[in-house]
Amino acid sequence: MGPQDISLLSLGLCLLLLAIPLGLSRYLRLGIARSILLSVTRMGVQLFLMGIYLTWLFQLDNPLVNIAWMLVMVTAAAFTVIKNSDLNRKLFLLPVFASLLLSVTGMITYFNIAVLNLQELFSAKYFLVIGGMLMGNSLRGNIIGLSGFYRELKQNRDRYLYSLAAGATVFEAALPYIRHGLSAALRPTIGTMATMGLVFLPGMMTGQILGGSSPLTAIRYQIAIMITIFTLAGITVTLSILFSIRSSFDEFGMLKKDLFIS
Amino acid sequence: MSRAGPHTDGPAGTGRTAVCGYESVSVTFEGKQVIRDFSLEVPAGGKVLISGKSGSGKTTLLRLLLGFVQPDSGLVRFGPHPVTRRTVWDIRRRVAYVAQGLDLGSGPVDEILSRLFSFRANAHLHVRREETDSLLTFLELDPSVLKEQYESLSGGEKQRIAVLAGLLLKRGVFLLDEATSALDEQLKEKVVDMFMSNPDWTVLAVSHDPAWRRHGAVRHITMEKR
Repeated sequence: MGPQDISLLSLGLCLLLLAIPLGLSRYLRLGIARSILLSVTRMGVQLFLMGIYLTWLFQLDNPLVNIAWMLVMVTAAAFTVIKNSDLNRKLFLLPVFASLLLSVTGMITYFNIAVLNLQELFSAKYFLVIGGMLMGNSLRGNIIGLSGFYRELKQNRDRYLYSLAAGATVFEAALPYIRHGLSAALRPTIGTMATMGLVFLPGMMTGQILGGSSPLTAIRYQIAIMITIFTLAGITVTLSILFSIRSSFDEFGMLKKDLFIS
Repeated sequence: MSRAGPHTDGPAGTGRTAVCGYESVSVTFEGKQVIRDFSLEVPAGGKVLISGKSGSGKTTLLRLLLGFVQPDSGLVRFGPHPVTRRTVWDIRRRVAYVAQGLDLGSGPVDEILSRLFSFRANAHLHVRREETDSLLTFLELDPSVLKEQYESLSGGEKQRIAVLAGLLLKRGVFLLDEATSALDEQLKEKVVDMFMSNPDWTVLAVSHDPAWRRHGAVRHITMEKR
């Protein structure tokens, strides 16, 4: 049993709804009409393309192609993290890419083998779909954690230098700021987990129930996914910070000057 | 105890031992020259006072030894070695630095101190409670200060905690940047005298405080503003 399909006509009817926010923007002079239209267009084009390539990937279902697609997703994710944390791409792209690649592939492998008990590790349906969802959800944590760490360290430069002068290694001197970044990155997900299931349905559960799964299957998936997302955020933020420390400090342990682009 | 020296100074074989030295050092920050052609030898056990107007590069001299600043030209030495990316990590284990900003960290004082001893370089030091207490008494601080939040202390109290931390680290070389500026006269004399009268300690002090200048053992250098 599949969900009720949405015809193009129905989608057009849904688009009509946009008249309300556009009207509000015009009437109250919010000045956001342009960005509403631009964002909706982008969403449409991007999702349309995703529909095409997902159909293609599902039909082909070739492990090598799937792995290649995963690399494309990790690259895009690394660019997104760096762009949104105002960090210097030259110094951070490689460490963030390595951290995401290692932690995401490790996590999907564990999830697919231990939790889902799959025989085919790289099947598009699970490898790409679950991988994409895990990665998408770890981006925010990465952005908060990485920029939180470097901003806090920069703000408390004298404290950091005092620790170095007292004989600390870069890691020892930076530890309070690693703690800061990591807990800032994890806190939102801890909050989300605590309120999950109160009244509102999480997006993934909605999708599964509409797709015909029983609510009991849907909640098990939801719990498994949340725990995996949370753990992944912890691993990937830690690795991003640790990997980037190598490129963002000079050999005297001083923070490089061009870390931030702004 | 002087872990930093003595080291024989240079190939000339003069027999003199130097803990640290500057040879024709110049430093420029953002196009402005803060130190020009500065030379100084600090022998083991030597006491040197550097004074001068603000902006004359006094603090930079100490930061050069810690590897926080690199000279544009000239050579900064610690023991027999130049300060380089390789040697600097060892140098930082041999000096005690009291920074002018006094930004040691946040939280209770005893946690800030125990963090210093959690560094692998300091793990061999076992600070006894009596030792801390007797230093606190000497610095005219009540032991209850250890439980207080460091940020809430007064400037004079922070300064004494920074001096205490430097002493507990048991280093032989002290780099003191305005380490007594917020203390009252009588305590100032006491602290200056403690640093100056220990023959094993090498002291490089930056200060425009007369209490340091008055001390007989000190060699006084005045930096000129550029």
